[in-house]
Amino acid sequence: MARKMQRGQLWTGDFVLSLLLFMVASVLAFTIIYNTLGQDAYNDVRLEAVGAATLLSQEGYPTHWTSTTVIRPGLMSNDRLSLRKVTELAGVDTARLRNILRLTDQFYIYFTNQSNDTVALLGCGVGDISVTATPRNVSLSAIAISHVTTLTSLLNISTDASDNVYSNLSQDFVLIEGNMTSNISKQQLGLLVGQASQSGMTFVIVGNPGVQILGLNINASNVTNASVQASAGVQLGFQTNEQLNISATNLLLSTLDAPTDNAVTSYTQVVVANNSKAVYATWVYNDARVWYIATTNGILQNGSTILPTLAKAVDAMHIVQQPICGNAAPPATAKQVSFYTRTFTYHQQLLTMHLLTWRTR
Amino acid sequence: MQRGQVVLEFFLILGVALIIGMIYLAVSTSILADTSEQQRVQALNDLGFGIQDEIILAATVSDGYARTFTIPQTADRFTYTMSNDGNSLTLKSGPATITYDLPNITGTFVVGSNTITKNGNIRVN
Repeated sequence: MARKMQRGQLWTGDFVLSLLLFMVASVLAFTIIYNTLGQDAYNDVRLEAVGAATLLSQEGYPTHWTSTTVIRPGLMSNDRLSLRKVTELAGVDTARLRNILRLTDQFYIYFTNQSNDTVALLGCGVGDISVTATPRNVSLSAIAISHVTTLTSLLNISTDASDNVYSNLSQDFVLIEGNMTSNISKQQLGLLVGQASQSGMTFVIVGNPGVQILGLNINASNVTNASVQASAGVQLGFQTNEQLNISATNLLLSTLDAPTDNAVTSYTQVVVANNSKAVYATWVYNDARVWYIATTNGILQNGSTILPTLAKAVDAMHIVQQPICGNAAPPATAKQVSFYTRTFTYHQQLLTMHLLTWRTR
Repeated sequence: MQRGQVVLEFFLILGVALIIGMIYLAVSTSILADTSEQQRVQALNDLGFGIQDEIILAATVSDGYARTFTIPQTADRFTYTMSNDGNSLTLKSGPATITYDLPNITGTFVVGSNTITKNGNIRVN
């Protein structure tokens, strides 16, 4: 017998069916919106990665930028990968690096060699991933130049018909020592170092190499007793705020005038004594990082002499931390992961830069 | 069946539909607001980095360079304000404020046509 329907009474079946239809429509709408936004998000992440990789494959601005002066980062110098610029990139904090790489997402940059092992040019890498690192010290390839004979014999200098001088100077670290004041050696050294400095080497000049070397005027002056206050952040063997007392008289020491060569940028006097008795300075010459140390054998506050301390400090400079790095992988919550690589030649080997970008939901 | 039963069932259905509708509205509004803010930042970055690229180009070429470019009134659909000093440009829109480093310049950017010239140093307008 059919149930008798009252006016306005809703069937339970109608209600359930309409509710089901409404929920299906809602879920469908949510799914379409979510998937559409997800696809656009991947494209955004990918395009940003392409842009950042392109920036890093150029010279950047300023041309010989440092971690404090960088406006647009780039790792190339004279069409080659610059070790100095890679080191400077590692000195930029992650938030600023994200901004200047024009990224809005998470990122990680690291280098590998032809065996796909991580090469710790940037430590293990820079960005938003922490990688396990086993400490390891490595010596940079280094050469010491003390005389023009050393220069010509070690560097296979050749001259073409236009008197252009060429060398095969390819080390990462060059120590220039002694007195290189003869015009011939000064000119050759200036030319060779100028060429070599295009590819990111580190030069350390110890002593009194002569006037107008690597863009700086070096003078000599008589000095008497004085004391030196080390600047904060001094790099070479002295503790911050350490007092150095030089207790000799009539010393002939070097001083540094402000640079006049356009190739010199980012000039900083790290330590300067009263009347310039002992000087450290650092500057960028073309694309080379140059450290300059000049003093005589003054006496430190603890009674020891400066020169052995300087020798140890210089010796320590070409030992760098190149840890053994674990694998880099974005976190499990990463979505829209983009993986971009660029390969560079560096000292006759291939290095691959990896740029990971991802968005976390 | 009593007269009131219709009203009860009607309000029950209406209530359920309203609750579902409100949840839907809240979630979609939140997603759309997030997306809108991302689009705002993206639009500011497109404009800011574009201006940065113009100045960097001027900084890398020889003296005698001159170029006119246009800064739009809105960044995509977002209104913004702009200010600059000798070495940075700041764009502000809604809650977003972004600063872009520039090579040293003299002059001020304006909405509309801007002329960059280089004779020794870089001048804007």
